[in-house]
Amino acid sequence: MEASEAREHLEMVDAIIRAGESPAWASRQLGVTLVLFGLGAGLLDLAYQVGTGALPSYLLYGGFAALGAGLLYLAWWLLVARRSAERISMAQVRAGRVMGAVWWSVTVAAFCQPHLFSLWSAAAIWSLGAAIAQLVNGFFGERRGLAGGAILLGSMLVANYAPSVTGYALAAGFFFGYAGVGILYLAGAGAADDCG
Amino acid sequence: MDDLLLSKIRLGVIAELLTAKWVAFSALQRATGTTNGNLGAHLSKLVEAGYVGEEKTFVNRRPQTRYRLTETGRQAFVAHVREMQALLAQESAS
Repeated sequence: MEASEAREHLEMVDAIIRAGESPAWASRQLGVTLVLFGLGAGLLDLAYQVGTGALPSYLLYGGFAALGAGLLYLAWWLLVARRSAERISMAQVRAGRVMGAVWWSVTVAAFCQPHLFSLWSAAAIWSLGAAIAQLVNGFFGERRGLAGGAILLGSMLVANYAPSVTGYALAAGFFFGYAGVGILYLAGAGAADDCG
Repeated sequence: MDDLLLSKIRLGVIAELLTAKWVAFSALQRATGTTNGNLGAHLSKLVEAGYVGEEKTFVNRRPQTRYRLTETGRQAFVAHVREMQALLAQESAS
């Protein structure tokens, strides 16, 4: 092999790897999932803030409906992507594993309520999980994820130092830091599609 | 150098598979910009050498073949790239 040919081959390999290994993950399916989970969790935070006695049913049922829809959509997405996608990148695999680990841990922590965590700390655990999931994607290069993670962490700070509006602050974190970022993914020009 | 990877198309296929868990034939064809028959022949050689694993499945009742890089293929690719880099370094030193 001549040196010029080796250079040409190496340049081609470099170009293919650069194109194939987009470290950040911002597909339309991820956008829909973020919107549904963000709305659901935010509505539940609002329900606990607004309801001093009986929790407002429209917020509560709306929240659970959005979370349920999010879970169903996530299950459908994983199934279809596994079966019909033309390519699953290692970046998607890594991000999926990290997000899965975060959400399994948060779900287990949520079951520790009320003995380990009282009302707002239990709610804040979900915000923490959402922030970590967003920041992981952010650190892989997705700036919208980084912004979402920062908003969610900010909402926890506000919730802690302004106890009269704790629920509003946590809800705002989910609406803007999770659902809002999901809308940005959906609105992004030429949003990627995980389902081939 | 690895004779199997001296082909630009086969090297391109391995590079494409390096960043993916698996890639369907159609996506590999787009990435390498080659014809069905040509890509099929190159892939057969890579599968035969154990560099690439092949999995046949059905998507919406249509057959789909997926490929993934094996550990043998990964090691061969890394060694081949190192040898090409060494060749270039030697060239620039002389």
